[in-house]
Amino acid sequence: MKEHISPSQAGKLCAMTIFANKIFLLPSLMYEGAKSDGFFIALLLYALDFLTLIVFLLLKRKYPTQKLTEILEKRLGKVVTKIIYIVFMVFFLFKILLTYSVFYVYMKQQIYQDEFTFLTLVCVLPVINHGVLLGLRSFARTVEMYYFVVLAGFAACLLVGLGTMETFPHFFSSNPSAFFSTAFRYVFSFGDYLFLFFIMDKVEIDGKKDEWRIIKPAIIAVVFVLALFFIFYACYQVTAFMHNNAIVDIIAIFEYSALGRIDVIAMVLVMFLCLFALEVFHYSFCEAFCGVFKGLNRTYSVVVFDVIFLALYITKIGRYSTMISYVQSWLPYFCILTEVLFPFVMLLLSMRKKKGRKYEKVF
Amino acid sequence: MKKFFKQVKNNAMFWVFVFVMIVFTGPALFAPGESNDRAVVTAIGVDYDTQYEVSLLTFIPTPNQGYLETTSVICGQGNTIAEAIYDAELVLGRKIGFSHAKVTIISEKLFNDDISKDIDYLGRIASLSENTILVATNETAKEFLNSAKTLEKDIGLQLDQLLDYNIRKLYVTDTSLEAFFKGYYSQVKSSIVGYLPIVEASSGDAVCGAQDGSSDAPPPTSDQGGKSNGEDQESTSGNSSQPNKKISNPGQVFLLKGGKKVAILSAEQLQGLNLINKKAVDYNISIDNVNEGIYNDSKLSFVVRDKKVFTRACFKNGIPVFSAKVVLGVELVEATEGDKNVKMNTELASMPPEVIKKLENKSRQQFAEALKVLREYGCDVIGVTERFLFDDRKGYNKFLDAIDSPDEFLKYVNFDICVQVEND
Repeated sequence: MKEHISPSQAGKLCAMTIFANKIFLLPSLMYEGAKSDGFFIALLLYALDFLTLIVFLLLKRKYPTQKLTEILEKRLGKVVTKIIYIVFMVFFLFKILLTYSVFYVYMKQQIYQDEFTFLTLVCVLPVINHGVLLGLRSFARTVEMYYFVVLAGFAACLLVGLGTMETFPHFFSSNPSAFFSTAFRYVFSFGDYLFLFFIMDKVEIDGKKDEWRIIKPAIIAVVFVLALFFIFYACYQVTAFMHNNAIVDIIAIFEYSALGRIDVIAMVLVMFLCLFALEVFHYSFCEAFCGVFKGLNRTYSVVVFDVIFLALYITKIGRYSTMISYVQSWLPYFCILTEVLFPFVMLLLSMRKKKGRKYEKVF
Repeated sequence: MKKFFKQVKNNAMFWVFVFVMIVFTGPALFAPGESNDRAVVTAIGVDYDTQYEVSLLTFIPTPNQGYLETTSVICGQGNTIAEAIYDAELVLGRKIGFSHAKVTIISEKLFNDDISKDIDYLGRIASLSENTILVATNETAKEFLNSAKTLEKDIGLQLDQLLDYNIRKLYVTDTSLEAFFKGYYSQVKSSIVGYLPIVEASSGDAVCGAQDGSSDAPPPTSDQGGKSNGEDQESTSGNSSQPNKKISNPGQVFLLKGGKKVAILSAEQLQGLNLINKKAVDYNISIDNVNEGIYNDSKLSFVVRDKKVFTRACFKNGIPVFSAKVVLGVELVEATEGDKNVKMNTELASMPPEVIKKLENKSRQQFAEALKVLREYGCDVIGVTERFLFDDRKGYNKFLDAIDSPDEFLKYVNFDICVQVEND
């Protein structure tokens, strides 16, 4: 029971993951590709994410207590299961690297103005390791505790941004080709709900009310992120491509004569969000690792993660510019496996009828 | 304590905390103060001769019995702006902090060509606020910053306060770095930048405005020197190095097209354009030769206290029409009759319909005259294109296909401006 979480906690974990990856650089990158229609791209990719969430809930209905490994091994065999888990280890590792590198560059630009790799690694790695080792439940409770603080901070940023808005974004200014190619290019920044499949045996869902408890925080988070996209494009319009930290930039544009810059609200918010998102992905990585190497416990997975993470970071593979180029080049193709094929297979598994039911019906 | 230690020693995070404290507390305690390491820049100046020269109005806090503010103009040169800033850093012996830089001054010479390539780097400095106000000057930016020091010393007026006033009351348009780029990357590639020339000062003057005869053509000075790399330092409590120069504030702006200066708009032209800007209030309108009602060959001055603006853009028979209804709430503040004052309470004075009509005509005329300049250079800095994009984008795009370029669009727009004056 130590690892079990409530549906409401699972929903809040979903909310934390979808915040962190999309509130910095993504609106700016999307503007480069599809102008203000980046808003609709976010909407489209969120729709894809919600389909994944629905698939998860269907699968959970069919297999309420089983682990993902058990389901996959029974239906697809051990080898395929291991391959799927290895694919997701890579997926979550790159999610962590992307979130971390974007966060690091933001902190470097806004606070330290110098490289501070050692300091940030010392501060971030032990915390996320500790969160994973303590178990999902304690981590989820921490998230639950800070959830409303994060929401309030986010709402404050949006309100300030709303105050600086002078006009609406110019929608429908890109062509379909630019729209869909941009959507494909940044698909890796989405697909965050996939982590739910790896903790499916730990989420206690009983009935439709509980399902709604997962969906509700996720919807709130999506509304907040879409509002951010909207305000960001309205505030900056044609210069949106020059602003890499959307959540901070929408409030930094406004200076209060008495208070000066109030982007400190966004700074604190960003720290919470990134830390929580990193912990969720780290936990999912460790779950995938334990699924591949069944004899090893979570401590091993944490150590292996640290070694790989540091190796990639030191060799500059996990650095900001490299990560952004990966996100735009090969990672979208990789996402076809994780964000399209995998949920589709899961959907098929959730729809598969049990053998013998035919006879039960006759008699 | 023993019990507490026994409890926490098994917690891994405790040891992480101890490690962080040991590794970071010592260096943090013994590290030199931030002010020794970083110089606070309050204004940036950019000049170009054969190389870029960046001048930085730098504030160095110096502990004393009282509190001495030492401001200096530090210069650096280089083939790029980044190189010039680095050069200035070497002179200062400190890193440069741009977080407090509120003004960026560019010499007029640079506006003869596309300015965006010169200030692109400034737009990308993360610590430099995008609200930094962009200003043009006729002399070198370095001289301007030196004059700014004098301004502060003589009348206690800081440069950013002066510019803040201009933005709120004169330009009533954002003239920041961000606003420049917004205009530059927009479809019409137009923006405006405040213009503060430096003029010869008569004794006792620190700053002069539009009415002192310097507004139209500030005399250019031949002194373009001072390119030497290094520090032109002077405490504000010391003597000014250029006592005969002062910053003039004629309320003019540079009209830019594609980042290049195409015209200078006077304060009156700006006021005319701001007719359709609802934020533009608290400005004066004067009318002469009033012979109605109680007035006899009078000169009346009004202040616009509030304003309502309703705009709409549409295509009528294929012709773009921009309609605006402006309701001006005005207050009579001064009435003179030849050489004598009018003995009346201006606050309670009634306005004959002829006076109201005169005011309406004057406002419309001011707008029309300023619009001529915008049409001539194809610069839309009053948001007409934006309005068409929102109200009828299909019609706008269709119309653009029929004309040579978006720059020509303003020439085809018919303006239907209805001004209604109300006595407050």
